[in-house]
Amino acid sequence: MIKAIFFKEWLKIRWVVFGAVLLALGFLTYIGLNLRQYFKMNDPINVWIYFIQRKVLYYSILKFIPAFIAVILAIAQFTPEMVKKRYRLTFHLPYSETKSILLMSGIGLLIVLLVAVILLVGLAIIGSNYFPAEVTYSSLITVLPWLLASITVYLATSAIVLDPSWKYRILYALFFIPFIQSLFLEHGYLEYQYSLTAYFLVSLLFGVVILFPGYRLRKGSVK
Amino acid sequence: MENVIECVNLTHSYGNKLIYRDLNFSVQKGKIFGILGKNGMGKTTTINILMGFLRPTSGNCYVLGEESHNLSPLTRARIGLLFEGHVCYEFMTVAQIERFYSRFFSNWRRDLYFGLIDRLGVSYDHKISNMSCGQRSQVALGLIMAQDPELMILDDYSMGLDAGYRMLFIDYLIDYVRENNKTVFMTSHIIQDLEQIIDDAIIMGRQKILLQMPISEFLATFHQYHFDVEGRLPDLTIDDTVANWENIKNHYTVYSFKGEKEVKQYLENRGISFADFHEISMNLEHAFIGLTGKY
Repeated sequence: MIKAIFFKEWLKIRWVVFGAVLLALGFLTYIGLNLRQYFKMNDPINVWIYFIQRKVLYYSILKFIPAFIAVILAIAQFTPEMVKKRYRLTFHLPYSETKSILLMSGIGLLIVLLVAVILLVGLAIIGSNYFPAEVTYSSLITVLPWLLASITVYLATSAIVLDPSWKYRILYALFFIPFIQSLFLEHGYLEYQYSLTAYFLVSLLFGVVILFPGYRLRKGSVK
Repeated sequence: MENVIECVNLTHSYGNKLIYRDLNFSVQKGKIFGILGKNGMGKTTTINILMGFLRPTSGNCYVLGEESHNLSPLTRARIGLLFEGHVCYEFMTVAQIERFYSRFFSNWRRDLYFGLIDRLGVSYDHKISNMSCGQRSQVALGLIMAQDPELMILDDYSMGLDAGYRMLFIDYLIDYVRENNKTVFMTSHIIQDLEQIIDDAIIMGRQKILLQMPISEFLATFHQYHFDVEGRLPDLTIDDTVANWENIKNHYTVYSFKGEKEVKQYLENRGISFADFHEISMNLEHAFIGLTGKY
């Protein structure tokens, strides 16, 4: 049964996954080429001052990419369930509705994590070619809040798409947006270093919200 | 005989709009049960309640012995459900959807599914979203048949189907149900199709059940009488004798469960003088309209 649900989710999101990986690799390539250009055209000391002293993040173009991918992914995954109330098909399967929702969103989160891993590995490779290990390390820690935000954005979008009531959709948006915004407030390196664990734990708590529209759909909010 | 579905004092309303009050009915094992009613009488509401997608305002429904709003996965596996409009995963192909569903049901009968698909002449990699409504209905029916459920719940299977596909659907359904002794609970807005298939039926009127009995008994006991009234045109009342009535000028039609003699006597007792009194035979659709009214 789990395999079958994986199969269904894969059919819905395969092109999004393909596009997301291409997008991530494309932006990484751009960052790599851009950095190469900087080092070719400028003295290393000037590059250092520009990127390190003036705190210009050479990978800032990535900032909203994971969140954007998360939105598209959640829409691709859950809109087909809502069109013609197809979620009733899923909830009529001989499989626990809670497990179904958790599995479906778990699959989405795996893709969000895949994109995060690609970006982290890519940034590590690019950074280690041009900077000392400390700078590369700091770049990875600096992008972590953006990646964490993509997880929360995925959960928020999923809950908003899944819930049939506009009242609840607005409630979810009001609930999630301040937290998501707070993950994009950096002005330099490593600013979230000491609060990341707390943010991560809160993100996990937000994961429970995804069960709520599923429960409402299954237990009688259908008109 | 064992009841597969049992609804007790079922009441449902959407906000202030009462759909029905104190509905009681049961469906016996092995029967094909139809729920007939005009649009907005609560047919789909009843199915949503039976499948646990809607919690009734009050009352209880039991499906295969479990409360309908709390059906376990094991019980759901014993129920084949066809949604209004033949809703299915349209992003899948004919083969993919079979592969998906086959993992959930231990008695999966892929021969039944592909047997039906082969009749359509579509390739197995045909995407369902590119199929006509009729073809999609066969995919949905094939999936339910392959599931081999004890109980089939079919919500307006005829929606969007032309006469040919409706016949095809019914032919396959009758053959499958009779051969495998299944219980069916179905609704349709095409009443004439149901005449050849359903054993028992309830006819739903506004907020209540108008009638529950075997279709053969309904057709045998429900009569349509025509007559012309002479003189003043009377307003008849709906009571034990007159189930419904209508008139165009002095041409009256009375629908009744009483025999010709009793109806004539009834009219005479009320001082209504009539001529050319005769009975007109009805099929199920006419009888349904006769009972529920045209409006």
